[in-house]
Formats: sequence, C-alpha cells, structure tokens
Amino acid sequence: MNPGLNELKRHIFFELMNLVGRVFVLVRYSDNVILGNRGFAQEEKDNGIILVFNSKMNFLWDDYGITATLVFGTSPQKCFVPADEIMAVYCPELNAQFVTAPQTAVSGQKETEGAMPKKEGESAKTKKSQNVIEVDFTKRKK
Amino acid sequence: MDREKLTHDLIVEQIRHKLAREYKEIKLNPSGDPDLILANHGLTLGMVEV
Repeated sequence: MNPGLNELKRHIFFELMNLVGRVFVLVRYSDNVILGNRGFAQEEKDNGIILVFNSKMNFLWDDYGITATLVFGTSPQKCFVPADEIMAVYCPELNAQFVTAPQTAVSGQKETEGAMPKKEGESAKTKKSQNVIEVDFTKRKK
Repeated sequence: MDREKLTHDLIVEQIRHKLAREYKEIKLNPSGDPDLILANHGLTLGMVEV
C-alpha cells in the first residue's frame, strides 16, 4: 500500500475531528486489528466494524495506526487499528466521507514496479507473462 | 406531467422497498438528484437516480 494513502486517511481524520469533534472509522477484519479481548462478530468479519472517535477521547495515531481505549457496551477495551485496515473515514454530520477500496495484489505490484529500476520491472512483467496461457479465440471462429 | 411524477415516485418507492433489506438507512430526497441515498451507519454506499 502506498504510505501516502495512510497519511491522507490520518489527515482527513483530524480535519473532520477539528470540524465536528466526532469521526467514524470503518475497519475491515484482520488478525492485525486488536479490539482488546472482544474480537470480531461474524457480521463484523464480513462487513467490517465501525468505530467512533471523538475529541474528548484519548487516542494516538502514529505511523502504524490508531491506539485507543474504546468502550463496547460497558466494557473498555484496549484497541489497536492498523492504518492499512481502515477502509473509510467519515462524518455523517457533514455528509463527508473518504473511502478506500481494498488494495489488490496488482496495485501493490504496480507500486513495487514504480519503485524499482526499469529493467527489474520489465523482468517481473516477463515472469508474470510466462505464467499466463494466452488463448487465441479468433482461430475457433469459422 | 402529473402522470410522469406519479410513475417516477412509484418507481422510487418500489426501489426503496426492495433495497430496504440491504441498507439500514435509505434517505428519500424529494427534490430529486439523486432520488435515493443508500447508507449504513451514516456511511453513504450508493445513490439512485430514477
């Protein structure tokens, strides 16, 4: 994932927090997401979980993600949400939202290619093309 | 003109009814453009224009 994307999420998060004082975050299920001893319900595993942060809470958003103590029902849980697992940062009061689609392996590969010298990028492409069987459907048409 | 509006509103209502299971919040927009806003937990997931 492009590290700039996580920085953008963080920036939008704090901008919304400054404007309204409350920000919603949609977090997808991952082993890296820690919600104390609570874990994820099945529906949350499928659709993600929405966490609400407000300006009165103590939380820290560092290079890796958000660390905070969140209250679920009545029980406070020490949570860690990696920035990579944040799918959306939004604020219903403002009708404003920032949504990221899941980063696919293909987009990840593009990033690597961009960072690598051209020759290596080309060889990676060649390797990939060796594993692809090309079928010419035009021959079948008669 | 009235018929057009009536048909339009009927379609909007039908769509709203059909999508009610999938989306917890469906906002009807009387002024149109879009006619329906589909959301879950305040997160807008789609807009429908009839």
